[in-house]
Amino acid sequence: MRTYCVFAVTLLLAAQVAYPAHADRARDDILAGFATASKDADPSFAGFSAERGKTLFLNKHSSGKPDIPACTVCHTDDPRSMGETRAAKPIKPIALSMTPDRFTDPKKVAKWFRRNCKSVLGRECTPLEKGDFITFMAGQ
Amino acid sequence: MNRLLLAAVLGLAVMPAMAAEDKLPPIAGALTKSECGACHIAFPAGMLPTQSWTAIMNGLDDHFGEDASLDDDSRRWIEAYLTGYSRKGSGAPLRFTKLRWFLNEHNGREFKQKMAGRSVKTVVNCIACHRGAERGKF
Repeated sequence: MRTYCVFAVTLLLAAQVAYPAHADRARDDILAGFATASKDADPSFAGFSAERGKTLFLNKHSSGKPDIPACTVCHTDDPRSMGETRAAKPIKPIALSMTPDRFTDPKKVAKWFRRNCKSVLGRECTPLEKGDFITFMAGQ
Repeated sequence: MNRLLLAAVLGLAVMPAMAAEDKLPPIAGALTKSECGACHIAFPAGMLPTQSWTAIMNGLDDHFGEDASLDDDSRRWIEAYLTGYSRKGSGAPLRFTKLRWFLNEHNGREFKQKMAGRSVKTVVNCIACHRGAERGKF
């Protein structure tokens, strides 16, 4: 019994360490791109802020589409919870602790920020906002 | 043995409902299925006429109140797929839920009761009642 437990824990640890290491590298590359662009836009850029990301995520906005004034309409107030599209399709939690492969595919990241920022804010998000958002979700 | 008998009787009772099941060929194109299916089931192309799909695929920046824009290559590919398998008919209605074939099947007390159930939420949540919707079984 004990051997089995040790074996299971080892497997679990191996799976947890192996997967996010790869995912983390891909996400770091994406974040580095946003950091470079943020620095280009504003030389005083001093890193991303989880706090600003949280505000962006939770705030209600009036500049976008009326049915979707906030990220939370679909993702709920808690990033660790399952979300739901307006057509009632489940959305995996947006928090990295729950969905470790979030923000690792550059094409997906570009597509969903473009769409969702236009829906919620009525414009594309800046690289700073995208970096803040991912930084917030990485800590959730 | 009694259980078997019960199952058989129940099976017979369910049969008329199953016989009424409609089949609409599901989306088989991988890109169409994954893109449309990201937010809702990939509704079968046969639900809407050609001009509807053209209108929908050219208005994705405001897709029923949401930005669902695509890169142009994907958009054109999916439009060709959907128009290629579209329903016979004219005009460009945007909502299949307003069409006669849909309304004829979704009315009356049973429909209203199901819609009132907490898990359904919206009439385009086909899969809430039609478990095989993603396989084209309605």
